[in-house]
Amino acid sequence: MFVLVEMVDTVRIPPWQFERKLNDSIAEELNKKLANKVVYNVGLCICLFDITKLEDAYVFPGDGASHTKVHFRYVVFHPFLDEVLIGSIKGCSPEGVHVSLGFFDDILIPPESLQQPAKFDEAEQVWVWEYETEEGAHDLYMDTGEEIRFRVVDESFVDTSPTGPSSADATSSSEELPKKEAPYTLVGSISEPGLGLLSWWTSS
Amino acid sequence: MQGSRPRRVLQAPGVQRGDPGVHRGARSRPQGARRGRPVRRRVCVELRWCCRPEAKRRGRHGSVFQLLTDMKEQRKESGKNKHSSGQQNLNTITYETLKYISKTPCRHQSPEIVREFLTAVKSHKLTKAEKLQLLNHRPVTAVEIQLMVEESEERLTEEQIEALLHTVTSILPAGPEAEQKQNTSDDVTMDEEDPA
Repeated sequence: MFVLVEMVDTVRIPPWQFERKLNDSIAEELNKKLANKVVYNVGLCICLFDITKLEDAYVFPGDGASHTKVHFRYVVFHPFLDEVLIGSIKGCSPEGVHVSLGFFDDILIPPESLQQPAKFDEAEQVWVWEYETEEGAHDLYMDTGEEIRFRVVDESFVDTSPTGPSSADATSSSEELPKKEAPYTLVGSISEPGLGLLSWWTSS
Repeated sequence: MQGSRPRRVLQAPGVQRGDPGVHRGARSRPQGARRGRPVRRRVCVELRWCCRPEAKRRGRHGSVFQLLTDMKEQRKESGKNKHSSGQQNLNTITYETLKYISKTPCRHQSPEIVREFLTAVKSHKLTKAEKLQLLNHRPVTAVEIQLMVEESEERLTEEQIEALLHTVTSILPAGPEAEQKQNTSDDVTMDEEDPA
């Protein structure tokens, strides 16, 4: 679920922080820049693991701050494909079941990846697995807040960096704000034995 | 004696004040030092610097838990203002991740336990990803093992699956839910003994 990613960056330390130890200032700056942010094609950054190399610090004319090139490793949330994770159901909608891990919310299980046969209960707005046994069909509800075990089948990164103003359309300013897309989403599946709500598979 | 590390501050070689692009008196921003974009949660950070995707190493939940707990202790001790806006993101993500991991069985894992577990399962010839999942999830049923181990029907016989389950449950410490269940069942037996 978590990976260590090696990165390189130039960190700017302003002069009023020169009295602090360099490593501490750099760690703070890196965490300020990256913690809880998604890096495109890498994942959700959690926190700094360590600093592997510090190069010379330079001061540029006109700017009193020092700039240091830092090689460091960062803990990033990036589950590998087919990894099994446990999360909690945030809610259900016709698009599927939304799952959350607490620190990461954009996980969706589409209807075709649910345990089949499944149907959406409009009244309660919840997905239901119609489990068939000899005695008849049991309806297993996927309620909000329940723990669910799922497999990661796909991930998608969207570049949400702001783009420049488009010079083509003069009327573009009257358009509504663009849809807020999540920069990193996971698609899960529970269509295998053992996956789904934990309560479905525990033998009491 | 304050042993502050001497800062080697050098003029960037070859840059003079009169050079084009270097404004006198203005704050010049050299290449590669652009800051990340603003503060909305989980915005894509602009990547002007390089990141080597092949240079990745998978980390266990347990080691991340240890790292975050240590970091939290360190920051509490240093007493710095944790509430400055820059640290808010770090606080949020640390809190949420710790909360998530403390609900899993990984919170009691130590490097010795992990080493013991890895030597014990060496004979089953599992891939790194499978061993990582076993460590993170601590499966207790055969169904869960089949989920985590690819093609387990062909690679492992029933006895091997049982042996693997036994190794997992005996070496890896149980999660907080299992402990809770154990506590309540202990209470029940104590009540039964009392009237006697």
